[in-house]
Amino acid sequence: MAPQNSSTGTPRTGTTRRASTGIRRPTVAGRGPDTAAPRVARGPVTDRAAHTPVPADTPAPADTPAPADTRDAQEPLSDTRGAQETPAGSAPADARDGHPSPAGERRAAGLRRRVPAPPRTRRGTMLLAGATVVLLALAVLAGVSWWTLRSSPAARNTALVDVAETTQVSQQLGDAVKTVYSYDFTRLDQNEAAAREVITPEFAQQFDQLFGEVRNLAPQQQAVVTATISQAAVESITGDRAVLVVFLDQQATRAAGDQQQVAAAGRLTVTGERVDGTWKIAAVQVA
Amino acid sequence: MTALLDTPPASPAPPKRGRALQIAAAVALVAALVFGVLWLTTLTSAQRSLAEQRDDVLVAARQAAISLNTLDFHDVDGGLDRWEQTSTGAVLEEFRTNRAQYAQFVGESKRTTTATVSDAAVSELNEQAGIARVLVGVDVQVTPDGQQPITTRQRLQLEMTHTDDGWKVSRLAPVRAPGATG
Repeated sequence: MAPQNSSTGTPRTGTTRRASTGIRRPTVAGRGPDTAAPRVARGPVTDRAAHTPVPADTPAPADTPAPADTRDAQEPLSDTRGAQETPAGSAPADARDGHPSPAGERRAAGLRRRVPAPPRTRRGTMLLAGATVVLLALAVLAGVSWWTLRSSPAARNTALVDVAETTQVSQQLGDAVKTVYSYDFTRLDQNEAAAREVITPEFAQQFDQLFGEVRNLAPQQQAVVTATISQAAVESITGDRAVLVVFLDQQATRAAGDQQQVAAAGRLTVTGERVDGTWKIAAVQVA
Repeated sequence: MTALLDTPPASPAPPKRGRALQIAAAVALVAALVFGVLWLTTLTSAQRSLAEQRDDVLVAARQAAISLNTLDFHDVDGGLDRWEQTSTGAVLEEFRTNRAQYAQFVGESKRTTTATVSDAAVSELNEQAGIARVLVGVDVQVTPDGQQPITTRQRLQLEMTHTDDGWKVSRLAPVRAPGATG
């Protein structure tokens, strides 16, 4: 703004006019007046100034702190900038001149709210547009970065990060696994009913197959199998899905044979789904 | 709006357009601030750090489980070097102490072992202490020279300790079923 101001820094009629007004308005940060600063301090445009007969001498909103704006308003024919603004600026100004009181009210309201006026010079517009573009770019950059962080696999997986949830997954899915992998040949119906309580329809087909074998073999072997979780760790919790790595032990008593204890060490990857607040088995992969 | 339409294209800033630009600038400023704050808080959150550590330790444990179960009798030194690189504390000491013994054993038995991880998960993570426990299912394929490979399915629990050089194995134990040999 400095070069323009210095090039047009001639004394002008408006100076005295504005000097008589007592109203002071704050300057706006970023519109830094250098050489024009004293002029602004002397007094911005008032209602009276805006209502002078010269049509182009009326900047649309009264609360114009920008030095270039006030200067343009007082010096309509000084340069091309002023000439360019005249068509746009004069139309509403003329209308206001015809109806002084609403315009005055509007100015007063603007004063109270201390809303900075829109830029009226090409340079001011360019600066504001540039700032807008830069801010928008920053907003987009920050927004995308934030979203990328938030939606990264590491961030969406709340295993161990959400302690309560992790404990719940570990306990409820662990219990479900114990229920599904334990059975007593004398109580297979009860075992099946209990197991169906802790699985989702997704796992039903796999379970049918699994329990079909149990129904075939358990009575023959008179098997009583007790499953225990040796170790378990929650691999992931993503919303209502969770994956639990289970080291499962099965102790079997085969009454049909010579009462031997068989310990089977298994590795399971259990996928759980939260149904009505309870974690149930949705899939089991024997790893 | 008619005033706006009547405006010659060269005109820099009629009041309405100027006001719109001002609003756009204000909106952009607010958006930049809001997303900036969201980004920074997410970036520096303790949860994010914990999630990152969890994933880091898991990657390290999986790699360590593979390294510690991989040994080619053609390249015993290279394999044992990797053992030492992935371990710390008592485990590292044990490896160093018994290195000659291991080398001799593997060289004489002419065995090659390779390992793959079936699945793994972090069971505990203490960020402050820099200690984590990880369950790893490992399939170890042992191939005696000129013979068919034998695969054993192992269940390992690794204790990982955070060092200046990343997460390393500080304890290593198979998870056995009671009464079973492993």
